[in-house]
Amino acid sequence: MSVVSGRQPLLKVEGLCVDVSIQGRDYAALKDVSFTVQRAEAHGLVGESGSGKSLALRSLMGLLPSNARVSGGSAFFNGTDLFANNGRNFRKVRGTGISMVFQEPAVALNPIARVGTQITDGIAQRKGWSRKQAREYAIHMMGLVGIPSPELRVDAYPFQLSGGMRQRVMIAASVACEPELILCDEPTTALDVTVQAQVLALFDGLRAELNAGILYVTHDLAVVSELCSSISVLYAGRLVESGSAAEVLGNPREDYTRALLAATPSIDEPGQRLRSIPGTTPALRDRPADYSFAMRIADHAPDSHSILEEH
Amino acid sequence: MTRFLVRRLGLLALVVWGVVTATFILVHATPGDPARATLGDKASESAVQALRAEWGLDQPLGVQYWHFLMDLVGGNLGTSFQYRSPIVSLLAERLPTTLLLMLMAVTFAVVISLPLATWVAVRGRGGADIGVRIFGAVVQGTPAFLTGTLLVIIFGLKLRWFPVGGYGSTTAEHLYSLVLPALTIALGIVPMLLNSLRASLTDALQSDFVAFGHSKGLRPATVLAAYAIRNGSISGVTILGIQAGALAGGALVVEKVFAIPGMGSLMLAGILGRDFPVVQATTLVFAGIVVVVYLVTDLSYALLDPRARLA
Amino acid sequence: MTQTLLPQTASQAGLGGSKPPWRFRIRPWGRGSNVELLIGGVIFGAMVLAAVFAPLLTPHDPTAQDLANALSGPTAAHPLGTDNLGRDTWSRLLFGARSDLGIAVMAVLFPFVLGTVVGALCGYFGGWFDTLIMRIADVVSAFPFFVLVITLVFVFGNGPMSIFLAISIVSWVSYARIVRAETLVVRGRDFIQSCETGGLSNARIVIRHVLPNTMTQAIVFAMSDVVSNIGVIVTLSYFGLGIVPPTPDWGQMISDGQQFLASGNYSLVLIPGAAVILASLSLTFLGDGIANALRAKR
Repeated sequence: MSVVSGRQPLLKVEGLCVDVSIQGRDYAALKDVSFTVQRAEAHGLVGESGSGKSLALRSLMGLLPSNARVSGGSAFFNGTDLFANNGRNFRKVRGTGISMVFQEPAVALNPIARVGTQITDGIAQRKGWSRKQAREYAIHMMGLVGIPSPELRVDAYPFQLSGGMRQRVMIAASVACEPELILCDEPTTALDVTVQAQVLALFDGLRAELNAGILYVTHDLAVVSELCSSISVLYAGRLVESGSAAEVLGNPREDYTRALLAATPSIDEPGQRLRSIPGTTPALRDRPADYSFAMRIADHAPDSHSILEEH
Repeated sequence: MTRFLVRRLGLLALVVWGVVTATFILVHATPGDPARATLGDKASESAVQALRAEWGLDQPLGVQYWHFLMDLVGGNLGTSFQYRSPIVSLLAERLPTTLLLMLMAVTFAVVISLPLATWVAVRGRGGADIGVRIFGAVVQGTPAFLTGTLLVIIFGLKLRWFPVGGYGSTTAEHLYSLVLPALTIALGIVPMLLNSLRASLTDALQSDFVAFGHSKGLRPATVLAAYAIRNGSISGVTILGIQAGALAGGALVVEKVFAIPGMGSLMLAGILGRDFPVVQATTLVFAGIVVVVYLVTDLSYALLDPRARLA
Repeated sequence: MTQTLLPQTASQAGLGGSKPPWRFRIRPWGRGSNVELLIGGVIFGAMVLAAVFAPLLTPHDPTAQDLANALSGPTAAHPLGTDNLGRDTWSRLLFGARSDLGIAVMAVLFPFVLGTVVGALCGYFGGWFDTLIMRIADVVSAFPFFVLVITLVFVFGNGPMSIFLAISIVSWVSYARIVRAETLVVRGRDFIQSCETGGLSNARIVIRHVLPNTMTQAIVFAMSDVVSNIGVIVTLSYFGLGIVPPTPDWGQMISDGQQFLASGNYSLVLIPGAAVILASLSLTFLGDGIANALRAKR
């Protein structure tokens, strides 16, 4: 599956199961999901909405919504199971060990706190910094993630910055403590294409510079192909395929991966017509426990043939 | 900020003028004759005519209105018929008491509502939630004079913790005597405040920015205070503004119940003693207090929320 | 759109929307059952029936004095005891319900109609009329509710008519604002715009299409308004400004009973007090229940 390495992997997720309770009933949103992230490696967790990829990410941070819970499996970070010890292990790794970049900086940044404060409040609390020290570090970090004239923007509020700037602030906050693993929840979907490319380049730089692992959740295979060296593909809460980026993207074994690829705008062949995957993943409570992509294709047979045959 | 202030003040000036005019219309343009009402049905026609002349009621309405405005601008609220002294000096004695009472009431309301709301929001649905809802419904359905009377029975007569009425003579005694009255007013505001705070705190706790705060490894107490409560309590300020009238009306009622020599008991004495100038002046000042509270809540809203201040 | 400077109701400020502040979502008897409606309806219904049939349910004239039996505890003849003039508490309680609940419910009607019509007109036509009415509403809500009501009762004199008038002058504002806000929403909908292009007269559109769509919120608010009216009436009477003796009323009963608190006789306050709270609480439940039912119907 993943690249074999002599060292202990940075993050090793094994048999992760997450249940979501809707109106008193439990539904399995993630079933037996396993993958590994190495140091200085970006791993892509790919799937459409409803695949459970964001839940997987949040479960690794101990930040599942109140109606979801981890019902099985383990997640070893540097050899320690994050799920053990009744959630206390999360507290130790958040910020310094694992950090997270959220999808929508517009709602994930505290709307009434200055961006400088939000970048450094974690590290300042840990190190007992003064306001002045924290502010200087915030300016430094803002420069690092490519925010122009950070000394002017450090005291701004999130709503005063553009979407791209806000996402850079979010990234600066997530790397302020030099974490070993950065979890990214579709961090570029809210950005336009040019900004998206800049942010991806930024992640790549941080990976190399901090020697950090990146777990990158997205539905966009183009992004994955640029950033990630290994990939796991999720469908309806199950892992359908995983391997190195070259393998999975170059020679997909599964129908679903092929369909995803066909629906991805190609960078190499611009102008090619885009195909959408027929149908959508049904909501958790509307799908059978063993739901598979084949069943969806069967439901939408007429319009799906073309995609699958061309590859 | 300046533009915000100027616009706010402009609108308030309009309302103040409206309030003054409405009070004038209430007292001067209604079918009843203030002089006749003041002196009662048994008074002689000549005495009524003399009082009409003294108050200028024999002049055309326009002239009366002009004099009324000019007197107000000059700080002259007229002379009490009952007390035979300028109303301004009566108010000077009593207004501070009422303001202190209202201030204590707001403090109590916040001190009761915020922790309760936080507790319920953190606990989620369940016993705590239902208990607090029932408490709110009961308190909401109890008029202030009854709440006050019940508090007197429990804390004044049964437990003997607080005086059943009066105001004492030293500052400490004043504060001590105002505890139950202020609590009575506070309970009138608590249901709505609590409900709004609980809703907004629940939203805040489920928001991405609280998850982001946790993801930076901040202490949970810091996230609760700086992220959840600071955002969630902004709505409370709006509620306090909306409840300004209930606050002032509550002061009027409880001053009577607890025999506190404030503006409310002055007004009621004026009403029972058919003292028109006093009723007119106290009505005006009560409305003035509400307008000032609106302005203060507006300003504190702007202070708490940079989006209102800077956008 | 006119900016509202001085908000008065929660729904106004967008807090809670159509929801009254306290809603119970207890559904022990399965989905769709409406416990609030049941509990509120039964209790309030019983109180209304007791008020209507008060003469049949009470052994004594509520104003008949019997000084020999003053301040007695519960006896066979006086199930809830008597007050300081020997009047039967049970009889006074039921006849008090007549005046308090009767006026509270009646006093909702006029502001409801006036506020609804004015609010619909403001929301539908906008312009100077809207601006003027909303400024007047701002001014009315700048006066503390109680202060204005008491001043108005003072100006108009004691008695039920003054209470009606005073409550009407103050509380049409809330209805006007609620209906105006709803009208603005409804106006934006396609079917109203197609009515307009279809050449229906304005009056017809407002009466046939806009008003029915905005009523839900106004009706829900009216329920909480009855609760607030009970509070006003009882408080005014407590002050000696509302219902005039000898007509019995809960506020007077509490006020009369207060002088005996110091001697340890709490029942003269607690019995009418409990009646006030029970009436308000059952009405709140009933209002929530009606809100649920109307929402379900939508």
